[in-house]
Amino acid sequence: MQNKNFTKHNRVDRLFDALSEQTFSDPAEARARLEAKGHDPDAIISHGMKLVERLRGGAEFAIAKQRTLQRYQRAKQRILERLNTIDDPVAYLTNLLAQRGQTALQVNFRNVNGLSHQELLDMIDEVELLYIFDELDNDSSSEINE
Amino acid sequence: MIDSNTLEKLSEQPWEELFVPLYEYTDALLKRYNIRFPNTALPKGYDAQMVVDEAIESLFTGRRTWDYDKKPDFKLFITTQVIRSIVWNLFASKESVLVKELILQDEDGEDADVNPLELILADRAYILENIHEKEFLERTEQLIRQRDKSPEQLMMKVYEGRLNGMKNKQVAHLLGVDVSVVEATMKRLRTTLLPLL
Repeated sequence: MQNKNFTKHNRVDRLFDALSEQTFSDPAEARARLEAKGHDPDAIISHGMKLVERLRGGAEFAIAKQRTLQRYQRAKQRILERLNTIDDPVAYLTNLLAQRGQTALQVNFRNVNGLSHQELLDMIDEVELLYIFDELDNDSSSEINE
Repeated sequence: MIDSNTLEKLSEQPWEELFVPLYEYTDALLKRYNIRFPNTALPKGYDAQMVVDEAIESLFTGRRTWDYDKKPDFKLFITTQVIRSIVWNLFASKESVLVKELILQDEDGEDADVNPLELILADRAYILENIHEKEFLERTEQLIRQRDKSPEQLMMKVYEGRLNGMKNKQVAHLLGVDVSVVEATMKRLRTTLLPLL
Protein backbone atom coordinates (compact mmCIF):
# COMPACT_ATOMS: atom_id res chain seq x y z
CA MET A 1 0.00 0.00 0.00
CA GLN A 2 2.93 2.34 -0.51
CA ASN A 3 2.96 5.26 -2.91
CA LYS A 4 6.42 6.74 -3.19
CA ASN A 5 5.13 10.06 -4.44
CA PHE A 6 3.34 10.93 -1.22
CA THR A 7 5.11 13.27 1.13
CA LYS A 8 4.68 13.18 4.87
CA HIS A 9 2.71 16.39 4.55
CA ASN A 10 0.12 14.78 2.23
CA ARG A 11 -0.14 11.70 4.41
CA VAL A 12 -1.11 13.73 7.45
CA ASP A 13 -3.71 15.59 5.42
CA ARG A 14 -5.14 12.35 4.11
CA LEU A 15 -5.27 10.87 7.57
CA PHE A 16 -7.19 13.85 8.94
CA ASP A 17 -9.54 13.80 5.96
CA ALA A 18 -10.21 10.11 6.50
CA LEU A 19 -10.79 10.59 10.21
CA SER A 20 -13.19 13.50 9.71
CA GLU A 21 -15.30 11.75 7.07
CA GLN A 22 -17.74 10.49 9.65
CA THR A 23 -17.99 13.81 11.48
CA PHE A 24 -21.25 14.77 9.80
CA SER A 25 -22.71 11.34 9.08
CA ASP A 26 -22.31 10.18 12.69
CA PRO A 27 -23.21 13.16 14.90
CA ALA A 28 -23.38 10.98 18.00
CA GLU A 29 -19.76 10.01 17.52
CA ALA A 30 -18.76 13.63 16.88
CA ARG A 31 -20.53 14.57 20.08
CA ALA A 32 -18.77 11.81 22.03
CA ARG A 33 -15.39 12.93 20.71
CA LEU A 34 -16.03 16.51 21.76
CA GLU A 35 -17.07 15.40 25.23
CA ALA A 36 -13.95 13.23 25.47
CA LYS A 37 -11.89 16.33 24.70
CA GLY A 38 -13.60 18.20 27.52
CA HIS A 39 -16.06 20.30 25.51
CA ASP A 40 -19.77 20.78 26.22
CA PRO A 41 -21.77 20.02 23.04
CA ASP A 42 -24.97 21.52 24.46
CA ALA A 43 -23.18 24.78 25.22
CA ILE A 44 -21.76 24.78 21.69
CA ILE A 45 -25.24 24.30 20.22
CA SER A 46 -26.77 26.97 22.45
CA HIS A 47 -24.07 29.47 21.53
CA GLY A 48 -24.44 28.66 17.85
CA MET A 49 -28.22 29.01 17.78
CA LYS A 50 -28.04 32.43 19.45
CA LEU A 51 -25.44 33.51 16.91
CA VAL A 52 -27.52 32.37 13.94
CA GLU A 53 -30.63 34.08 15.31
CA ARG A 54 -28.75 37.34 15.79
CA LEU A 55 -27.16 37.16 12.35
CA ARG A 56 -30.41 36.25 10.66
CA GLY A 57 -32.16 39.21 12.27
CA GLY A 58 -29.33 41.49 11.22
CA ALA A 59 -29.44 40.23 7.64
CA GLU A 60 -33.23 40.64 7.43
CA PHE A 61 -32.93 44.19 8.72
CA ALA A 62 -30.16 45.01 6.23
CA ILE A 63 -32.20 43.62 3.33
CA ALA A 64 -35.32 45.53 4.38
CA LYS A 65 -33.31 48.71 4.75
CA GLN A 66 -31.80 48.22 1.31
CA ARG A 67 -35.26 47.68 -0.20
CA THR A 68 -36.53 50.85 1.44
CA LEU A 69 -33.55 52.78 0.19
CA GLN A 70 -34.08 51.51 -3.34
CA ARG A 71 -37.79 52.37 -3.14
CA TYR A 72 -36.92 55.80 -1.82
CA GLN A 73 -34.53 56.41 -4.72
CA ARG A 74 -37.12 55.25 -7.26
CA ALA A 75 -39.72 57.43 -5.57
CA LYS A 76 -37.47 60.45 -5.69
CA GLN A 77 -36.84 59.95 -9.38
CA ARG A 78 -40.57 59.53 -10.16
CA ILE A 79 -41.50 62.59 -8.15
CA LEU A 80 -38.83 64.67 -9.84
CA GLU A 81 -40.19 63.65 -13.22
CA ARG A 82 -43.69 64.57 -12.08
CA LEU A 83 -42.68 67.91 -10.60
CA ASN A 84 -41.28 68.91 -13.96
CA THR A 85 -44.81 68.72 -15.37
CA ILE A 86 -46.49 70.75 -12.60
CA ASP A 87 -46.86 74.54 -12.68
CA ASP A 88 -46.49 75.10 -8.95
CA PRO A 89 -44.52 72.22 -7.46
CA VAL A 90 -44.18 73.91 -4.06
CA ALA A 91 -47.94 74.27 -3.70
CA TYR A 92 -48.42 70.70 -4.87
CA LEU A 93 -46.01 69.29 -2.31
CA THR A 94 -47.30 71.55 0.45
CA ASN A 95 -50.90 70.47 -0.16
CA LEU A 96 -50.00 66.82 -0.18
CA LEU A 97 -48.03 67.05 3.03
CA ALA A 98 -50.73 69.16 4.69
CA GLN A 99 -53.15 66.29 4.15
CA ARG A 100 -50.91 64.29 6.43
CA GLY A 101 -50.92 67.05 9.02
CA GLN A 102 -47.36 68.08 8.26
CA THR A 103 -47.92 71.78 8.81
CA ALA A 104 -44.39 72.36 10.07
CA LEU A 105 -42.99 71.64 6.65
CA GLN A 106 -45.13 74.40 5.20
CA VAL A 107 -43.04 76.84 7.18
CA ASN A 108 -39.93 75.56 5.47
CA PHE A 109 -41.56 75.77 2.12
CA ARG A 110 -42.19 79.49 2.52
CA ASN A 111 -38.47 80.01 2.04
CA VAL A 112 -38.03 77.84 -0.98
CA ASN A 113 -37.98 80.40 -3.76
CA GLY A 114 -35.14 79.67 -6.09
CA LEU A 115 -34.64 76.08 -4.94
CA SER A 116 -34.45 73.38 -7.59
CA HIS A 117 -36.91 70.47 -7.56
CA GLN A 118 -34.12 68.22 -6.35
CA GLU A 119 -33.40 70.59 -3.46
CA LEU A 120 -37.10 70.69 -2.62
CA LEU A 121 -37.19 66.93 -2.39
CA ASP A 122 -34.06 66.87 -0.27
CA MET A 123 -35.96 68.84 2.37
CA ILE A 124 -38.52 66.11 2.70
CA ASP A 125 -37.71 63.06 4.77
CA GLU A 126 -37.94 59.50 3.45
CA VAL A 127 -41.27 58.69 5.02
CA GLU A 128 -42.96 61.73 3.55
CA LEU A 129 -41.36 61.12 0.18
CA LEU A 130 -42.72 57.60 0.06
CA TYR A 131 -46.15 58.97 0.95
CA ILE A 132 -45.90 61.38 -1.99
CA PHE A 133 -44.80 58.48 -4.19
CA ASP A 134 -47.86 56.47 -3.14
CA GLU A 135 -50.08 59.46 -3.86
CA LEU A 136 -48.55 59.75 -7.32
CA ASP A 137 -49.34 56.11 -7.90
CA ASN A 138 -52.93 56.71 -6.84
CA ASP A 139 -53.16 59.71 -9.15
CA SER A 140 -51.79 57.65 -12.03
CA SER A 141 -54.24 54.84 -11.34
CA SER A 142 -57.22 57.20 -11.26
CA GLU A 143 -56.06 58.82 -14.50
CA ILE A 144 -55.93 55.42 -16.13
CA ASN A 145 -59.34 54.49 -14.80
CA GLU A 146 -61.05 57.69 -16.01
CA MET B 1 -24.60 42.25 1.54
CA ILE B 2 -26.46 38.97 1.46
CA ASP B 3 -29.48 38.66 -0.82
CA SER B 4 -32.86 37.41 0.35
CA ASN B 5 -32.69 34.09 -1.54
CA THR B 6 -29.34 33.16 -0.01
CA LEU B 7 -30.59 34.23 3.42
CA GLU B 8 -33.56 31.91 2.98
CA LYS B 9 -31.26 29.03 1.99
CA LEU B 10 -29.00 29.65 4.98
CA SER B 11 -31.97 29.88 7.32
CA GLU B 12 -33.23 26.50 6.07
CA GLN B 13 -30.07 24.69 7.18
CA PRO B 14 -30.44 22.35 10.18
CA TRP B 15 -28.17 24.47 12.34
CA GLU B 16 -28.91 22.66 15.58
CA GLU B 17 -27.54 19.46 14.03
CA LEU B 18 -24.61 21.19 12.37
CA PHE B 19 -22.88 22.95 15.24
CA VAL B 20 -21.33 19.93 16.94
CA PRO B 21 -19.87 18.40 13.74
CA LEU B 22 -18.70 21.84 12.56
CA TYR B 23 -16.93 22.43 15.84
CA GLU B 24 -15.38 18.97 15.85
CA TYR B 25 -14.24 19.34 12.23
CA THR B 26 -12.68 22.74 12.94
CA ASP B 27 -10.99 21.54 16.11
CA ALA B 28 -9.36 18.69 14.17
CA LEU B 29 -8.41 21.05 11.36
CA LEU B 30 -6.66 23.41 13.76
CA LYS B 31 -4.69 20.48 15.17
CA ARG B 32 -3.80 19.40 11.66
CA TYR B 33 -2.45 22.86 10.86
CA ASN B 34 -0.56 22.96 14.13
CA ILE B 35 1.32 19.95 12.80
CA ARG B 36 1.86 21.48 9.37
CA PHE B 37 3.01 24.79 10.80
CA PRO B 38 4.79 23.86 14.00
CA ASN B 39 6.32 27.26 14.59
CA THR B 40 3.07 29.12 14.36
CA ALA B 41 0.75 29.93 17.21
CA LEU B 42 -2.78 31.22 16.87
CA PRO B 43 -3.59 34.58 18.47
CA LYS B 44 -4.41 34.20 22.15
CA GLY B 45 -7.94 32.98 22.73
CA TYR B 46 -8.49 31.91 19.16
CA ASP B 47 -10.10 28.50 19.02
CA ALA B 48 -12.46 26.34 17.00
CA GLN B 49 -15.52 28.21 18.22
CA MET B 50 -14.15 31.53 17.01
CA VAL B 51 -13.38 30.08 13.60
CA VAL B 52 -16.85 28.56 13.27
CA ASP B 53 -18.45 31.82 14.43
CA GLU B 54 -16.43 33.75 11.86
CA ALA B 55 -17.42 31.31 9.11
CA ILE B 56 -21.11 31.60 9.88
CA GLU B 57 -20.96 35.37 10.27
CA SER B 58 -19.15 35.78 6.96
CA LEU B 59 -22.00 33.94 5.20
CA PHE B 60 -24.86 35.81 6.86
CA THR B 61 -23.27 39.19 6.26
CA GLY B 62 -22.50 38.37 2.62
CA ARG B 63 -18.76 38.77 3.11
CA ARG B 64 -18.45 35.26 1.71
CA THR B 65 -20.93 34.07 -0.86
CA TRP B 66 -22.60 30.70 -1.09
CA ASP B 67 -23.50 29.79 -4.67
CA TYR B 68 -26.05 27.14 -3.73
CA ASP B 69 -26.73 26.25 -7.37
CA LYS B 70 -23.12 25.28 -8.00
CA LYS B 71 -22.42 23.98 -4.49
CA PRO B 72 -25.67 22.56 -3.14
CA ASP B 73 -24.00 20.54 -0.37
CA PHE B 74 -23.84 23.18 2.36
CA LYS B 75 -21.86 21.07 4.82
CA LEU B 76 -19.19 20.42 2.22
CA PHE B 77 -19.15 24.09 1.24
CA ILE B 78 -18.83 25.57 4.71
CA THR B 79 -16.10 23.11 5.76
CA THR B 80 -13.91 22.91 2.66
CA GLN B 81 -14.44 26.42 1.28
CA VAL B 82 -15.07 28.67 4.24
CA ILE B 83 -13.60 27.14 7.40
CA ARG B 84 -10.50 25.79 5.68
CA SER B 85 -9.92 29.18 4.08
CA ILE B 86 -10.18 30.96 7.42
CA VAL B 87 -7.82 28.51 9.13
CA TRP B 88 -5.36 28.62 6.25
CA ASN B 89 -5.30 32.42 6.35
CA LEU B 90 -4.71 32.28 10.09
CA PHE B 91 -1.69 30.03 9.76
CA ALA B 92 -0.23 30.77 6.36
CA SER B 93 0.26 34.49 6.80
CA LYS B 94 2.10 33.97 10.06
CA GLU B 95 4.13 31.22 8.42
CA SER B 96 5.62 33.54 5.86
CA VAL B 97 6.84 35.83 8.60
CA LEU B 98 8.48 32.93 10.40
CA VAL B 99 10.22 31.75 7.24
CA LYS B 100 11.86 35.13 6.81
CA GLU B 101 13.04 35.08 10.40
CA LEU B 102 14.47 31.59 10.09
CA ILE B 103 16.46 32.01 6.93
CA LEU B 104 17.95 35.42 7.33
CA GLN B 105 20.45 34.22 9.86
CA ASP B 106 22.40 31.01 10.22
CA GLU B 107 23.13 29.15 13.45
CA ASP B 108 25.83 31.60 14.49
CA GLY B 109 23.57 34.53 13.96
CA GLU B 110 25.42 35.60 10.84
CA ASP B 111 23.51 36.65 7.76
CA ALA B 112 22.69 33.56 5.71
CA ASP B 113 23.84 33.48 2.08
CA VAL B 114 20.40 32.92 0.61
CA ASN B 115 17.79 34.89 -1.24
CA PRO B 116 14.92 35.09 1.24
CA LEU B 117 12.36 35.90 -1.40
CA GLU B 118 13.14 32.76 -3.41
CA LEU B 119 12.77 30.59 -0.38
CA ILE B 120 9.56 32.29 0.66
CA LEU B 121 8.08 31.56 -2.73
CA ALA B 122 8.94 27.86 -2.46
CA ASP B 123 6.64 25.32 -0.83
CA ARG B 124 6.65 25.97 2.89
CA ALA B 125 6.25 22.30 3.67
CA TYR B 126 9.71 21.72 2.20
CA ILE B 127 11.33 24.75 3.72
CA LEU B 128 10.67 23.85 7.31
CA GLU B 129 11.78 20.42 8.41
CA ASN B 130 8.48 18.82 9.41
CA ILE B 131 9.73 17.06 12.46
CA HIS B 132 6.36 17.46 14.05
CA GLU B 133 4.62 15.69 11.19
CA LYS B 134 7.07 12.78 11.34
CA GLU B 135 6.66 12.52 15.11
CA PHE B 136 2.91 12.73 14.77
CA LEU B 137 2.78 9.79 12.34
CA GLU B 138 5.12 7.76 14.53
CA ARG B 139 2.93 8.36 17.56
CA THR B 140 -0.12 7.47 15.53
CA GLU B 141 1.35 4.14 14.56
CA GLN B 142 2.47 3.50 18.12
CA LEU B 143 -1.07 4.00 19.41
CA ILE B 144 -2.47 1.68 16.73
CA ARG B 145 0.05 -1.06 17.57
CA GLN B 146 -0.86 -0.74 21.27
CA ARG B 147 -4.57 -1.02 20.54
CA ASP B 148 -4.62 -3.60 17.75
CA LYS B 149 -3.05 -6.82 18.99
CA SER B 150 -4.88 -9.05 16.51
CA PRO B 151 -2.83 -11.27 14.16
CA GLU B 152 -4.45 -9.75 11.08
CA GLN B 153 -3.68 -6.22 12.30
CA LEU B 154 -6.70 -4.91 10.51
CA MET B 155 -6.54 -1.46 12.04
CA MET B 156 -2.98 -0.89 10.87
CA LYS B 157 -3.85 -2.09 7.36
CA VAL B 158 -6.90 0.16 7.13
CA TYR B 159 -4.86 3.05 8.51
CA GLU B 160 -2.13 2.52 5.91
CA GLY B 161 -4.67 2.23 3.13
CA ARG B 162 -6.35 5.52 4.03
CA LEU B 163 -3.00 7.18 4.64
CA ASN B 164 -2.04 6.32 1.07
CA GLY B 165 -5.14 7.82 -0.45
CA MET B 166 -7.47 4.85 -0.72
CA LYS B 167 -11.17 5.13 0.04
CA ASN B 168 -12.98 2.68 2.33
CA LYS B 169 -14.32 0.67 -0.60
CA GLN B 170 -10.87 0.28 -2.12
CA VAL B 171 -9.36 -0.81 1.17
CA ALA B 172 -12.20 -3.30 1.66
CA HIS B 173 -11.62 -4.74 -1.80
CA LEU B 174 -7.88 -5.05 -1.22
CA LEU B 175 -8.29 -6.73 2.14
CA GLY B 176 -11.12 -8.97 0.95
CA VAL B 177 -13.60 -7.75 3.57
CA ASP B 178 -16.94 -6.00 3.52
CA VAL B 179 -16.85 -2.20 3.46
CA SER B 180 -18.78 -2.18 6.74
CA VAL B 181 -15.79 -3.89 8.38
CA VAL B 182 -13.52 -1.09 7.14
CA GLU B 183 -16.00 1.54 8.36
CA ALA B 184 -16.19 -0.07 11.78
CA THR B 185 -12.40 -0.21 11.89
CA MET B 186 -12.21 3.48 11.01
CA LYS B 187 -14.52 4.20 13.92
CA ARG B 188 -12.19 2.29 16.27
CA LEU B 189 -9.26 4.11 14.72
CA ARG B 190 -10.81 7.48 15.52
CA THR B 191 -11.26 6.42 19.13
CA THR B 192 -7.72 5.10 19.26
CA LEU B 193 -6.24 8.32 17.91
CA LEU B 194 -8.41 10.62 20.02
CA PRO B 195 -5.52 11.59 22.32
CA LEU B 196 -3.74 13.03 19.28
CA LEU B 197 -6.73 14.81 17.74
